[in-house]
Formats: sequence, structure tokens, C-alpha cells
Amino acid sequence: MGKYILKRLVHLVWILIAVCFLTFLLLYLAPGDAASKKLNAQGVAVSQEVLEATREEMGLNRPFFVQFGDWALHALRGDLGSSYKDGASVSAKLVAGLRRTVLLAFSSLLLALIIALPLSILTAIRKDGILDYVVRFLSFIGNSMPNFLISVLLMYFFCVKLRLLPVVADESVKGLLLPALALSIPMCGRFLRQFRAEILEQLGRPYVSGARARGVKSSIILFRNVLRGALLPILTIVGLSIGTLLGGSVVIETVFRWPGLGKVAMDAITARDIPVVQGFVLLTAVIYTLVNLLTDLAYHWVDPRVRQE
Amino acid sequence: MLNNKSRAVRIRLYGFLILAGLLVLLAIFAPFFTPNDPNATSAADMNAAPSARFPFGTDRYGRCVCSRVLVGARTSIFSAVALVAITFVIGALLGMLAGWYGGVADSVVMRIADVLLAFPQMVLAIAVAGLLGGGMGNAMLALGVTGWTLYARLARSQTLALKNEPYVCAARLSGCGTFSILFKTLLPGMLGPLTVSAATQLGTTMIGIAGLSFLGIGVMEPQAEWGSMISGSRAYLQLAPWAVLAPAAATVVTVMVFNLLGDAVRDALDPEVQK
Amino acid sequence: MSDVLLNISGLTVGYGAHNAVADVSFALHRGEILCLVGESGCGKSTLLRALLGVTPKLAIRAGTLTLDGTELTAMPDKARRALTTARMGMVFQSPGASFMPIRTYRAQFIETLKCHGKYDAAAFDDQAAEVLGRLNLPDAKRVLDSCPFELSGGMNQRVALALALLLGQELLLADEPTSALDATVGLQVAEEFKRLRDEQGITILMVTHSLALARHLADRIGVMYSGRLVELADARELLARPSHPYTLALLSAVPTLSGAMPTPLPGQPPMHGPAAVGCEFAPRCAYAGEGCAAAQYALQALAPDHFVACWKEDRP
Repeated sequence: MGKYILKRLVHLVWILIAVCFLTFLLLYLAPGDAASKKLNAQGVAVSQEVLEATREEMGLNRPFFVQFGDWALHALRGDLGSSYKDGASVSAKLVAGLRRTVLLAFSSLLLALIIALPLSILTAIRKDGILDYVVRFLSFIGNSMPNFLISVLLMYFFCVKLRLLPVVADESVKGLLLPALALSIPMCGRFLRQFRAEILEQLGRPYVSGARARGVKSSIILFRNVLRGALLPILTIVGLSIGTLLGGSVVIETVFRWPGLGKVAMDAITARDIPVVQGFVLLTAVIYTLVNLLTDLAYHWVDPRVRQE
Repeated sequence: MLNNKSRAVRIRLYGFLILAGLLVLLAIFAPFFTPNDPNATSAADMNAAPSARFPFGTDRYGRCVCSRVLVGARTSIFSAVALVAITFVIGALLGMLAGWYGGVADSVVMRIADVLLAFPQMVLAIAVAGLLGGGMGNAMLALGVTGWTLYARLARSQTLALKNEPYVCAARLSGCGTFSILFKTLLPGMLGPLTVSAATQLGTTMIGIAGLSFLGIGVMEPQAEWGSMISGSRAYLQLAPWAVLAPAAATVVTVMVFNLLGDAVRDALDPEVQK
Repeated sequence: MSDVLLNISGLTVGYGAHNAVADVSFALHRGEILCLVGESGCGKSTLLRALLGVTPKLAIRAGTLTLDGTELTAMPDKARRALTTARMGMVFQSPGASFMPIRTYRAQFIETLKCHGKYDAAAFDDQAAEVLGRLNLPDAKRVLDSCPFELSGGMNQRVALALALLLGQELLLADEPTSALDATVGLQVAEEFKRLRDEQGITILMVTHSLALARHLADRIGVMYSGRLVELADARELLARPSHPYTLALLSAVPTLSGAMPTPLPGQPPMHGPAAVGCEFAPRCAYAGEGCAAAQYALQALAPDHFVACWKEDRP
């Protein structure tokens, strides 16, 4: 087990280096160099001298890998540079938004799990029953609707038409409900389908008929055996969905004006505030990679078959 | 390939193929069906309710929503289909080569895929499309940057599995050139799972492009696209809900058809399907 | 206490539209080993599952089952399952697969015992050690703390037998218990079955496609074809004086080390199990004649303990 952790950590390190590199390259996507972009973002008209001075100041005349190394080392220490727009610390902006995005993501994940877990168990054991068809139908629709659409429709019905919930999200349950719901619905649709498939897979395994033949009660077969067997694949599915959560949060936070990471990123993109965008991409990639690593390690920890390798 | 599948599976497959085909045809010929000019603005008719002249009403600039939805079909559907096709070809090719040659080629391709997949797909797409300045091409590029990895991994694992099959070895021994083996011997065996992947990705890709357009970094005004239409008319939701609901309905219906097609393709071609 | 532990009379079972087993009758005596042999698909495993009664969608369509005087077929499903799972132990073909691969045997044993109200926390370790010791698994603690995937095939089969002993089950239903094992290991496991019969008086109904195993273990052998019992006799009697044309074909088809070439049986068994009228074996039978297609199935007594389902008089 120890060897495996070591192997994965080494892999993690080099992935993160590559991620840093790619994120750094984002700088070069838009035409023009960094200095002109910075000055444009501030809305300052540029003359040649100001441009040159800014270039010197930003260290743009140094070789490429020096610039990259410098940026990466700073990033390692948590310093992601300063915003082009207002010079504020990028890290500070992101961290302020991170807390709220985590709150949103956590709530929607919880919501999705609360709905999906029991329903997927029920639809698996009562396969092809009425509940199964209804749930599959609804989750199919939920899966076919883009999250921005769900957000807009939810906002329309609950805020505008019914006036039940506030238009601008806040941290109360009422304020968080719609954004969390919007973010969780497509996820829920996917979970319902995938969890059900994993549970059905376990139900078809020989140990289930073996346990039945031994007279073990159905509820015990289900909860102590089948769910135990499905737990690991389900864990992996949940871990992978963090990526969708992070991506989806950009849209949801824009629609509901929730001041989280996504909104910070979107504002930065509109303002061509590249350091903030880079910081956002780097932060989410690091979070995503760490979550996947933890899920993978948890998998190997819990499954005794793998532990023996 | 479809021989031992039940009649029901085949009917579903052909049914949804036809349905999807009709949508594509509609998209192609949309400009001929539009009741009005999709780009014609009219100050007098802003946010007008549905009527005989404007079947789905008008939007905030007085443009006919119905016409824009029809023309938007072209943008939304074609861009998704094109993107899936392009990433499919590139990914499958890279995956096959990686699996076939192994060694450095394999390591390089797979490492690049690993790194790209370390980013959440939409996050990277938003950053790339946003920084490139938006537009349909950039949006497709942004999504395509990570899109090919799915097909590459699949093609690679299939190639590795089939590489040492007797019929492939026979082809090699009989002196066939590498590309002939890859395309005439290996590829047909992998086409099933690869096609399933592509078909199931159609809906997701459509949603991705619509999402980028909604955020303003995909297809941009005044070009008609369902995501950007929803975004643009959002502020007038109370005044003119039809301007949002029409493209919304179109998006949902189209994605559902493509998702159903993807499921039908999977049931028909995937050898491991259990119902 | 009667000599007959399990009485099966006119049993017909099936899934869906077709029957898998039709009109099977025999009595299983206490302390005997009865082997059911036949080709794959002849319904012998299905019969076993029908006896246990826990397989969903497998229904008993006709006939009666009486376990130790209690008529199972007259009982409501839930009560019947509780009784059969308590009294009958099933040993599966794939060792270890009938247990959850990533939980310890200890946890699964306790779980099963609790469901039958037979778990005694204080006595468990000793009881388990004793039972495992009897089955040549002296390191009880290690076995109990292992998961199925960590033990070998032979060990897993013995663990399955151990659980049956812990539950005090007097009847074992064994479905090809040695087919998935190496020859030597399979023989060891077969010996365990024999010892259980000899030392504990446990009754065993074993399904196998191996005539060699049946010859080694069985007190009586029943031959099944296409869902019907075509011959039933004392083991030595059946092997020395086989009567049914199918049994004859089966015995000639077995390769022997003496060098005699086996005679294969042409054709395939019927796809859909037993038909209502006519002998199912007739198309492949060397002795088939005029009345075979219309003959009604019936087991006739050749000798006091030798039954055959063939109406033709002119076979050897």
C-alpha cells in the first residue's frame, strides 16, 4: 500500500508541474503581449514608453522558462500574482470566492446524494417497476437539460412567477436552495443512472444468490453486502463529479449572482484579467486532481483485494 | 454487427437515427422555412407576444424568435456534430497509433491526455474560449482540446487488446503495410465501442457549446444560437418569456433526441449491454 | 424417525413458459449419498434449486415435496424458505463465489447464523474451530479472518461445508462441487463429503456430470435426461447393469484409461426441456421404435431398487 501511495504521489507531482505549465501558457492565447493586455484591462491608453516600462516591470523581457519558473515558484508559495484590473492579490480574490463555491458545491452534492442514493437503490431492486420507469424518465430529462437552462427556468418559476425565493442568492437556506438545486439536478440524473447500474451489477453477482440460499434476510443482503460492494464504484463516480461541479459553478454563479469562484472567473474573463483566470484554472485543476487522488487511494484502501498488491 | 440484437433494439436504433436525421435536415434547410428574416430587427415589434406573423413572438430587438430558433438549429446541431466528428477522428487515430507502436509514442500521447484530463473539462473550455475572445470556432477548439482524449483512450485500449489476436498477426505476417492493417483489420473491430462513445457524446457536446454561448464566450450575437438566445433574453424573462422558452424547448428536445440516439446506438452495438 | 428424509413426488418445475424438470419422483434416505448425473442442461441443477426454493421466478408447477414429514409444497413461501434454508445446505460449483469476496468469513458466518437464530457469541469461536478442524482446516482463526479470495478453491469448498455443519444442517445439496477444482483437490473435497456422511450421518444429494465422481461417492445414482429421471438405482447395480438406452450411451461415452475408445452420442438434447408426450430421448436412441413418440413417461421397476423409464422390452 505504501508503495502505491508513493507511486501516486510522484505521478501527482509531475502532473501538477505539467498543469502549471499549461496554465501559464494560457497567457499567450490572446494576441498581443501581457503588458498591453494588462494596460488594456485597466483601460489605460498605451504609449510606447509606458508599454516598455510595464514590460520591464513585469519581467517580460526575460527568457520564457525563467518567466515560467518564476510564476510557478510563486504559485507554489500561494502567490498567484496581481490582478490586471485592480492590482489586488489574485490569491485573495480566489480564496474569498472559494469558500462560497465550496458551500454551494457541497450543498448541491449533498442534495444530489440525498435524492439519488435511496432512489437508485429502490429502482434497482424494483427493476422495471413503475417507480423505475418514472425515475428513469425524469432523470433522463434532467440529464438532457443544460444547467444554465435549469437555472433560468427555476429562477423564472420560483423567483419571478411565484415570488417564493430571492432572486439574488445569499447564504441562507432559502438563498442557497435554488442555486444548489440547479447545480444538482443534472448531477442527480447522472447519479441515478450510474448508481443503479452499479447496484444492479452487484445484485447479479453469485454471492447474492449464495446468501439467499443460506437464508440471509433480503435487507441484510442489500445493506451489508450489496451496498458495500457498490460503495467503491459509487465513491469513484462521486469523486469524478467534482469536475462537473467546478465547471457548472461558473454558470450557476453567473445566473444567480453568487459571488463564488465561478463568478470571479467569469468577471475576469470578461475583463481579460488573465492572472485571475490563470489562478482560477490552476486552483480548480489542483482541487480536482487532489480529489481524484484521494478517491483512488480510498478505493485501494477499502478494497482488500487491491491492498495485497 | 447488429445480427444477434433483438428486433426491438434495431427498431429503436433506426427510429432515432431517422429522428436525428430529420433534425439535421431541418437544420440544413432551416433558412427556407423561416417565416421572417432572423436578423431583421424592428423597434416597433420588440418583445411582442406570439402571433400569426411571429409564431414564437419576438425578442428584445424585435427579431422573430421562431426564425432565429430555426436558424440557430443549424449552428447548434452542426457545431456539435462537427466537433464530435473531428475529435473522434483525431482521438481515434492518436489512440490507435499509441496502442500500435507503444513505447515513446504511447507514453507521450497518454501523458498529454492525463494532463489535459487533470483540468475539469468545462473550466478549461471556459478559460480557453474566453481568452481567445469567443466565437464558434474558439468554442469548438476549447471543447475539443480535452474532447479527443475519450476516443484516444478507448482506441488505445482496444488496439492493445486486439493487437495480438491471431487475425491481426496473420495480417502482419502476410506483409500488409501498417496503415492497411490499422484501418482494414483493426479498426472494424473497434468501430462498435468507438461509435457508441461518439453517439453518447453528441448531447453532452451540444450542451457544452450552448453553455459557452450562454456565458457569452461561444457563438456570439447577432448569430443565432440557442444558448446565447437564452442568455440574451434572460433579462426580459417577465416581459417576453417566449424569447427564452422557445430556444429552451428546442435545446431540450434536440438534446433528448441525441441522447436517445446515443442510448439506442449503445444498445445496438455494445457487446456487453445488460438491460 | 422415518428413514426417508426428503420425499419428492411428481415434481415439475420451470421458469417462464417451459418446464425444466417434469414428473420427477424419488425418496432420499437419511444418511445416503445420491448422485444425479446427466448432460448439461438436463435440469439436475434446476431440480436442486427448486428444492431450496429461493430462486426467483423458478416455480414448482406440480408435485409435492416432503421434508422429514413436513409437506413443503403446502406451506406459504416465506415459511417454506425459512425452513429449507435452515435445514438444507447448498454447496455451489464455484468455490468462494457464493460468499461476498471482500468481507471476512467470520462476518458472513455470524450474519448467517444470526438470521437463523443460531448465533451464540460466546461459543462461536470454539464451535467454528471444532467444525473447521473436522474438515481439515486446523487454523480456524486465520480462515475466519480471511476473505474468500484469499483462500484456495479446495479450502473455500470446505469452509462452505463448515457453515452447513455450524447450522446443523442434515441435508446437503451439492451442485457440481468439484467441477471447478483440480483433480487432486476435487478428490479431497469428495472425501470430505464421504466423511460427513460416514461420521455425521449427513444426507447428500449431489449433482454432477462426472460419472467417475458418482462411482466413487454415490450410494444411489439417478440419471436425468431432458428434465426427466430416466433411471434410478443402487450405484453398483446401475454401473454393472445399466438399463436405460441413455445410461448405456452415457457409460460408453466416458473415456477410460484402459484404452477402449469412447462411443460418442450423436445429436443434441432437446432445446426446451421435457415434452408432454413421447420419450425425449427417442431421436437419439439406438433402440427407438414405433411407440416411442407417443409413449407416456413412467418409471418402471426392473428390480426392487432399480427403476427405468423405458417401455421397450428388447433392450439388453
